[in-house]
Amino acid sequence: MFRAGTNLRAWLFTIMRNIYINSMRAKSASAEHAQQSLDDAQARVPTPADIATPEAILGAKDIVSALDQLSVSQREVLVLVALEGMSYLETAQITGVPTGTVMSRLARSREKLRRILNAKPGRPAGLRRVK
Amino acid sequence: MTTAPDNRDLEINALVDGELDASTQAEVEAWLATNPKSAEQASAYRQFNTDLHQIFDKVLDEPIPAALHPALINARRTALWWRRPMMAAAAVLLVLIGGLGMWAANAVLVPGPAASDTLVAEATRAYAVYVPELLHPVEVTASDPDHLNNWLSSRTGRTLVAPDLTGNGFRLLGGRLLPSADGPAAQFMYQDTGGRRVTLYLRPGDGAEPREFAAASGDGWNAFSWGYPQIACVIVGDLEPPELRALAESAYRQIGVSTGAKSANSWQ
Repeated sequence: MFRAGTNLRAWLFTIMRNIYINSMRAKSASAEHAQQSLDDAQARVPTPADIATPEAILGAKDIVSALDQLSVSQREVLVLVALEGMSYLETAQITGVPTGTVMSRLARSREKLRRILNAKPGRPAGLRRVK
Repeated sequence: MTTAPDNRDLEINALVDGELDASTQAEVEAWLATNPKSAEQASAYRQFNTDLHQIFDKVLDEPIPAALHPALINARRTALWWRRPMMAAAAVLLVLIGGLGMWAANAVLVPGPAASDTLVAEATRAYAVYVPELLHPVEVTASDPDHLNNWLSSRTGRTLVAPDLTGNGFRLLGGRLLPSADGPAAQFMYQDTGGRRVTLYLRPGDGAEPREFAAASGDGWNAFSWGYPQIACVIVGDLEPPELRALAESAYRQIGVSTGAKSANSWQ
């Protein structure tokens, strides 16, 4: 239940996550729903045109594909912390695991990203910016 | 994943995420200053945060697509269960009618419809095509109303401003350009929180007498039409006539003001 003084966004994320998991578990989804979800999912993937500068496209593709290689639980904590700006405590509440687990998942996610991206030739980390 | 993250890894992550208290933060930063490998690790993590924002912020900030509007999803679910029996019934009906079709068509068809019939027919045809559209109900969304109005105005050659119907609970989704017998026409689409949609169809007038206010209805829609010398308007929706009429009146007043046009209409 939401209590005043706590983070509303974290609470909403908890609800969304539960709804998502429940809907994934409900195997009754019809083919039409599956197709709709697929269409929606495809619509969410950023295209090169979404990304600000042409020189960033190469690096962005690498990062998106590296994110894909993370496990769902690793990607989840990374997105909540790094992109949504949730605290460790909020992330623990949203995902229903102890804070320590959030921290170790996060450490593994970032290290895995770094390893995948370092394996790309000529780029230490992050987006390569070609001048 | 081969090795478990050690305490340093956790501290470096916590530093990047601003989770450390002041004294621990100072301690970790001091340690990084003398350990270039870990410093590189921290700067790579910071760069990830920047990169993730650069890649995804634009997507996160997009308005929620109309297709994902909760009310519309519910409407879609509801639509699914009745559609099958309806389609079956329609098929049976078609078979029954089929035999009579050729003969009936000759008997029923009347010569060319009157001008106002054409206007309403165009508007309802466009309504029927685009209102059920989930992914692309409009060509240009209402996120930039000035752009939408300017574009449709320049193409139709009339000053068009999408009326604000939020007072009636309907929010502008956007608009599109359509062909009509009298050149380019415009369609604005509105939606309420229940997912119901109405369209406002605007066609350049022929400069003739302003069109009198008129009601029309058909299978699954009601419509009100009216006109100014320069613009003919039709509002279409699957709403009860009194509710649709309230929308029509609101649109009528606003278009009259925005175009400075006088209408011959006597309805209030």
